[in-house]
Amino acid sequence: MTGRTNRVAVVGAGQTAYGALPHPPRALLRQALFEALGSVDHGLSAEDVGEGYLATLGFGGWQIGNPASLLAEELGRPGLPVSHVENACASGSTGLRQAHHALRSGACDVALVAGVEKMTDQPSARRRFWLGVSGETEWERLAGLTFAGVYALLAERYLHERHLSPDVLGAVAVKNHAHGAMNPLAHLRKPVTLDQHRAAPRVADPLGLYDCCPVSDGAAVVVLAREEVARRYTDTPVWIEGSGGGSDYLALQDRTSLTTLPASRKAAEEAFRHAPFSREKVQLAELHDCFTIAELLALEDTGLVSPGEAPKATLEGRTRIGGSLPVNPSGGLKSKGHPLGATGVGQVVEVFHQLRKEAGPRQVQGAERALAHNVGGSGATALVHLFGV
Amino acid sequence: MSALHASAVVLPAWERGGVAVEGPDEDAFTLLVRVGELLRRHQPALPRARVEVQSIRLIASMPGEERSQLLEAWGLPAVEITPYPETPEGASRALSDALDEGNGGSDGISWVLTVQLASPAGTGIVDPPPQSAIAVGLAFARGREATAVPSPGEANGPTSARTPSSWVTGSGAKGGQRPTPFVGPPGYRAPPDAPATILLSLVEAASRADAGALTHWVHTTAERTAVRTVLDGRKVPIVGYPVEEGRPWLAVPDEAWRARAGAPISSLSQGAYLSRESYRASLPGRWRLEGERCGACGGFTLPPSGHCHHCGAREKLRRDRLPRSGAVIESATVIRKGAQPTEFDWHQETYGNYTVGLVRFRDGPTLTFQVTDQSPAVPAVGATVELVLRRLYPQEGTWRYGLKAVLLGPAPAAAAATAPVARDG
Ligand SMILES: [Zn+2]
Repeated sequence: MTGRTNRVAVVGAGQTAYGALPHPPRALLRQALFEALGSVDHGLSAEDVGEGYLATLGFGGWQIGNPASLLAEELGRPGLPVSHVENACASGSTGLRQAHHALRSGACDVALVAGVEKMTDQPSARRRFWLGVSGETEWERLAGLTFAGVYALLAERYLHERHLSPDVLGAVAVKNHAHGAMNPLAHLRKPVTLDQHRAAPRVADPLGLYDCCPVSDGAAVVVLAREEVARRYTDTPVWIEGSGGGSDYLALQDRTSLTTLPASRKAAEEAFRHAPFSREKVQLAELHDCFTIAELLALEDTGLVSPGEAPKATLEGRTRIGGSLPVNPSGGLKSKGHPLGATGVGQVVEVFHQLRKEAGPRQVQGAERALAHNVGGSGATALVHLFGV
Repeated sequence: MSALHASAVVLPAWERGGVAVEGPDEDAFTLLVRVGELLRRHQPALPRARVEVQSIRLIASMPGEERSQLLEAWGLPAVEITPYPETPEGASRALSDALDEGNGGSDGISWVLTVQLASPAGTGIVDPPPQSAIAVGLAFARGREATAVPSPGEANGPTSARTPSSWVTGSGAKGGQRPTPFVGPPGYRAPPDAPATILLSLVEAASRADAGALTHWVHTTAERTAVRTVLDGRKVPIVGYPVEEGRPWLAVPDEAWRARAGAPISSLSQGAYLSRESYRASLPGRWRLEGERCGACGGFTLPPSGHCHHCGAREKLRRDRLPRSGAVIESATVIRKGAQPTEFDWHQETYGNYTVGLVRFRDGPTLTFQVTDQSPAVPAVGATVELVLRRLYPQEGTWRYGLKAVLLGPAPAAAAATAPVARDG
C-alpha cells in the first residue's frame, strides 16, 4: 500500500456544459461519455473497460433505481459490471473512490466514473421537494429546512463566532463568479460585484441569492487506468496521489461544532497520509462551494489554510487565479454549477485539464499538484482526492 | 358541591398588540394544549381528572394516538375527554356536566376547556388563518377536594409569563380587599353568547362575587338554554339545566382524515417524507422531549432507543425528559420564499417567512425547531427559549404538530457582529 507503486491515473475526462440544458439525462450522459472517450490521447476501446460507476441522485425521480446499467448501454457494452453510487452531492467523488479501490485491487485495468443530474426540468414545487432529500428528514426537514437553510445555520454561527460581516461570503462569490466567467462550460458566466452580492434577495439569512449555487443540468465522465496500462492511453496521465473519505452525523443538531465539517477533515487526513506531497505543496483546489460559506469551511477543514485563516486568505486574494492558492478556478459549484451526481466527477475534469495545462484563460500557471474536495449534504459525507503530474 | 378551583386564559401572541408575528401557527388544538398546561401548572398535584372539552372539531376528530399524546402533554395519564359541539349550547352543557360530575359524589377535578377561533368558515384541513382566538380553562374541584383546595382567588395563577396579569381572574378577596375585577383580554371580540365568552363570564363572576348567588344565563337565538351558576363566596355549587338531548357530538373516525378534501399536498411521496406511522412513533420525543439519560456518560438520547447515542452503553439508561424551558439558540436563519420545503408552502404563502434555529439544551442534545411568536427580523442567536406545541405543516389531510421555540427574552447583543470584515483573521 505504498503510494507510488500501485497508482491509478486519470487518462481521459470530459463533461457537458452545465446549465439549463434541453437534453434528457441519458443524452447528457452520452455526451459526457463521448467527450471523455474522445479525450484519451491514444484512443480507448469500449472493450478495455472493466468496471463502471454511475453517480446520480435521480433528481426528480428520473431513474431512482438501477440507473448504472444505462452507463453500460451508452458505452455500447451491455454486460459490463456497473454500480450506482450515491452520497448526495458527493456521489461523483464516491464513484471515483470506488473505482480507485477497484483498480488498486487489480480487479480490472480500466474503469469509468460517470455522474449525471437533470434538475432544471422540475416544476418549482417538485424541485423544492427534491432539494432537501439528502438532508436529515425527521428533524431538519420537519422544522422547515432545505439545504439553503441548513448552510445558513452554519453561516450564521460562523459569522457570529468570528464577528464577521456577510461581506466575507460575498468575497467568495465575487471570486468564483470571476473564475466561472472564464469557463465556457460554466452555468453562470457573469461576474458579480460585492454591491450586487449585498443587494441580492435574501434566501435564508445570512445567505442571499449570490451565496447559493444554481440548480444545473449536466454530466461528467472520467476514465481511470492502472499505472501498468496507463501509458497505452496517454503520455500525460494525471495521477491520483491520494484518496480519503469521511462521514459525520447526518443532522447538524448532532454535531459538536457548527464551524467545521469533521467529515472533510477526516477525508483530508486520509488523503494526505500516503500522498507524496504535503498540504503546503497543493497549487490549486476545487472545493465544494454549494454555498459560499462552504468554501470557507473547506479551506480550513482540508488544512490548505490554518484554522481561522480562511476569511483572511480569501479577502487577500490568495484564493484567486494568480494568487498563491487558486481555489475553484473552474468557477466552483457556485458559478460552474452543481448538477449533483456530476459535480464530483466534474471537479476531476477541471483538475485533469489544469494539470495538463489545457485550461485556457483560467489556467493556473505551473500547476502540478491539485486537491478536489466534495461534500455530501451538509457534511454527512465528504471525500478528498489528490492529483499530480 | 363543586368549587371553581383554577382558571386560565390564553391568547395567542398574534392576538396581542405590539407583537409582530408573521406566522400565526396556532389552532384549537395547540391552544387547548396551552390552556391545559397552564391549569396543570397551577395544580400539579391533582390526583386525577376528567376533562370536558368544549368545541373543537380538531379535538373531537383527532385520531386516538394524537389525542393520547395530548393527554400526556398535559401530564394526565388516564383521563376521559368528552368533546362537545362548538356552540353556546356545547359550552353550557360542558359546564353543566363538569359541575354535575362533582355533585355526583366522585372526588377529583373536572376541567372545562374551550377555544374559540374567529375565522372565515372552512371545512378543509387548511382553513383560512383565524383572525382572533382565545382559550379558557376552568378547573372545578369536587367532593372532598373541594373543601381542601385554596380559594379561587389563590388558585388563579397568571395565565402565562407573557400575559399581563390583569387578564386573569384574581379575587384577592383575602383580608377584606376588594377583588380585582376581571377585565378580559384586550382585543378580544367574541360575540356575547359565544362559548368562550360564557366561560369568561363565569370567571369574571367568580372574581367579583363577595357572597351570595349569581345566576348566569346563556341565551341563544334559537332557544333558551341556560346554565345557572350559583356562586357562594368561593364555592360554585351548581344547579344545571341539561341542554337538549340528541344533538350528535362531533366525531370523525380516523379514516375520514385521509379522505378529507382540501389537502394541499399529494399523498404521494415526491422526496423526503416522514410517514404518518413514523411521525406518530416519534411523538414522545417530539412533543414531550422524552429520551434516555445515560448513567455511564450522562449523554441524552432522543428518541429513546435502548442504547446511548454517545457512548454505546446499553445499561443504566434512565427515562428522562428535557426541560421545556431554558434552552439556548445556537444558530438561526430566516427561511425566505423559495427556500422552504414543499410541505411548508402553505405556511410560507399564508404567513410569510419563518425562523428556524438550532436549540441547545443544558446537559442535553441540540435539536432543530422553528422559532415562533416573533418577527423573523428579531435576532435569535444566544437567546433563551421556551418550547410550545404548534402547527408544523399539513400532509395527507391532517396537521403535523411539533414543538417550536418562543424567545424568553432578547438575544444578547453580539459584540461587533456587524463590523466590517475582520482583516486580522
Ligand atoms: Zn452514554
